[in-house]
Amino acid sequence: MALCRRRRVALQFGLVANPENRRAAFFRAALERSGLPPAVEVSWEQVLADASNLERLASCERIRVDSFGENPRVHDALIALGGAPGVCLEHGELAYLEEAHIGWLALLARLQQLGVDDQVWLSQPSHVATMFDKWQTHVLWAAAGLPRPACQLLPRTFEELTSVLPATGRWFLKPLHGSSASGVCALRKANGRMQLTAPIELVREDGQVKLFNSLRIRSFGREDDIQAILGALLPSGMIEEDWLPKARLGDLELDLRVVVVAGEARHVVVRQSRHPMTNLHLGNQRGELSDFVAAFGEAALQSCLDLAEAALACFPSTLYAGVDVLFGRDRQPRLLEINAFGDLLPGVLHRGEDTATAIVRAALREPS
Amino acid sequence: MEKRELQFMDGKSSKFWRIELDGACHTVTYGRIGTEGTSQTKEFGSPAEARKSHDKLLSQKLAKGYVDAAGGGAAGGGAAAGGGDEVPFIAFPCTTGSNGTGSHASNFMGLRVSRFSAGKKPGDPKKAAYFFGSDYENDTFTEDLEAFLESDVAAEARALVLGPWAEELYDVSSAEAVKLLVANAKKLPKLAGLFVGDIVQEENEISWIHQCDLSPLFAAFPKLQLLRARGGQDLALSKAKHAGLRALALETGGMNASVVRSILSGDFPALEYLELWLGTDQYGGTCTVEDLQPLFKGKKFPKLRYLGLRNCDFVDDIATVVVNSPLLQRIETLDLSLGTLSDVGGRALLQLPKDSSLKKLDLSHHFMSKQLMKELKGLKLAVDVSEAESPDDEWRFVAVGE
Repeated sequence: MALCRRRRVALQFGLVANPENRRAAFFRAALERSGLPPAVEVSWEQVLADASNLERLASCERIRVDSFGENPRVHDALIALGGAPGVCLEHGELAYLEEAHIGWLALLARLQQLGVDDQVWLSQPSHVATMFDKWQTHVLWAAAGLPRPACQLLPRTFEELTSVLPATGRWFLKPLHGSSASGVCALRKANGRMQLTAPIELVREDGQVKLFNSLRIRSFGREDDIQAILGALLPSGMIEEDWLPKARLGDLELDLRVVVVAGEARHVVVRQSRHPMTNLHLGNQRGELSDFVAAFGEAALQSCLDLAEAALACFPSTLYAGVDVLFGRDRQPRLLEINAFGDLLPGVLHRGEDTATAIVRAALREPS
Repeated sequence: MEKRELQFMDGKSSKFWRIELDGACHTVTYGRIGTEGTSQTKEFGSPAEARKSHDKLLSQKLAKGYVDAAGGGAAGGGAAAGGGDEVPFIAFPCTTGSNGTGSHASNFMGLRVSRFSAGKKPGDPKKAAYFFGSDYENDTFTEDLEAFLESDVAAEARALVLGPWAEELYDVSSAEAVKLLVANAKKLPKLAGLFVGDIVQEENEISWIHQCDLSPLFAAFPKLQLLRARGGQDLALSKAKHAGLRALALETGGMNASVVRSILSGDFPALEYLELWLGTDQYGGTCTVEDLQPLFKGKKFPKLRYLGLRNCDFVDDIATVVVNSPLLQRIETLDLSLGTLSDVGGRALLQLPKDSSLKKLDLSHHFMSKQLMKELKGLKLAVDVSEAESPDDEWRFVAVGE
């Protein structure tokens, strides 16, 4: 079977990533599998050290931008670039979210300054910037009339928060710039009581409070604990999102991660959890798509896929993204979030291709 | 031919497993209690090989918590499924898996839990425990319960499970539901088991469930054998007495000491099974090991076989004291699971008296070291040290930046 059209055989890809990360490895493997030459690679560390390192990409016909995550030096450097130099985060520490985001925006700006055509970027840097801001993404989708849980931008202090939220209810409070369930809190209020459930470990040391991303989801019932957590997260910006009951397969709630490539919903993963957070790596499970269809029907699945496609369509000329779709107990799909680097779904094939291969092939088919 | 019949019951299943050894082959039959089940026969090269396989399969099942069926042949429908009045002892626990209160019970008192909806044909009262619950889509708890009380099956019903009694449970207690049952007790002459508060984490957190004084149920239902309730807020048992109650299980995130004191100064002469989730002061628990001393003195509940002091953040203290209690000379199972048991409590348990009557020690979901787990497994009784919790910092993750 021909791996690619002969006339495009020498298409030169570029890659900006953390080279040690498995995402880079998947992409390299996909290029090789497609009979393409290796990408010109620039690491995020190099971009941070000196933006002119990006000039090596000037001759590339397609450039993939990949995640900066899972590299402590890069993360600390982003925070420094974002206005807090000298910070050295502990493993899993949840802090300096706004500074990291500002640093990230600065890096994306460096990419744009390379001056290559829009079509060269598989993901437009400006779109990536928007996808990393939950409120901006929400506004974009609301303007396009796409169904979303109701959402508001929260004030930046705990005192203001308690006056903005009603006395009774349940909500998700999500950091504007977090990912992978980092800092996502489920908050409940009733009769003057509050309870926060989150994948967070709260550590008090020498009068200081530190938060860590934790695979163990905990409930916090004491006001001083809740105040410590939200007091640390609110200043970096959070949104409140209505808590909608998710559909269930068996006992577990679910949502869908849909990888949309070139306008088409491709790889789909059912994420199941007994907790309000269905993020895959929190020890939650992948469900079977066939079970989803058996329980809710093909039309239900299609409605989710259509919505995911519409979500990416709001970012024209960005080739792919991982879209999270909530399928409610009312059987209606709603958009949750879009992940610029949400295409890492190891072991999931669609039409015989993994996500990286699907992206490479789609990139080859684009007009140059 | 040798035959061994085992049974297993919890909040998810009610199963039997039978093995018959005949010369060089054995036949395994398994399935839901009350059904014929599925049979598989396996032949071996010799009787010795068949016996080896037989013994191995048996010990696997016993390690999983299966027990010998009462009377050796009760699997064919005797277990609570209408075959006799007495609820089998193994039908009292109601664990629904290691996720705590994450799932509704699909099995209660050995019966399959079946939702009762007004206007729909109900399940067979000989096989079903009827479930009532409001949810996001249908706030029909009261309507369903009232319809049930007027229906034909009420007179035959053996067990009821009360789920969410309102769509939003924040400030609605179980009081109205309890009043309704008490007022209509004459319509439920066969009621042997009741679960008040099968409410899962997502519907309402355990420490947010509003209970009430449940003791009117004792006065109204003299034939009650099993009462399970979830939720500690406003929970009370002001008149703690019942001549025939054999099992009492109260699940809370923090139990009020007054409830424990009521039980221990109360009158439950027939009690065989006592399960208390004592919780933590963070969720309203005011109980300490001192409040349990009347129990540890050993004279209460002469028929007690199972004692569970679960979900407790002072379980180390309990372990230290209980090893010296005369209770351990007569009960079969001590359950200290779901709590914060550490090496302190574990080491105390190593001092279990050699003449203790205990057959099973459940310490699942604990914080003990591998070394201590190994030593406890060396004790001459069945010890469950599964679900060892690892230290918090092993659970930290780095955001992947998607």
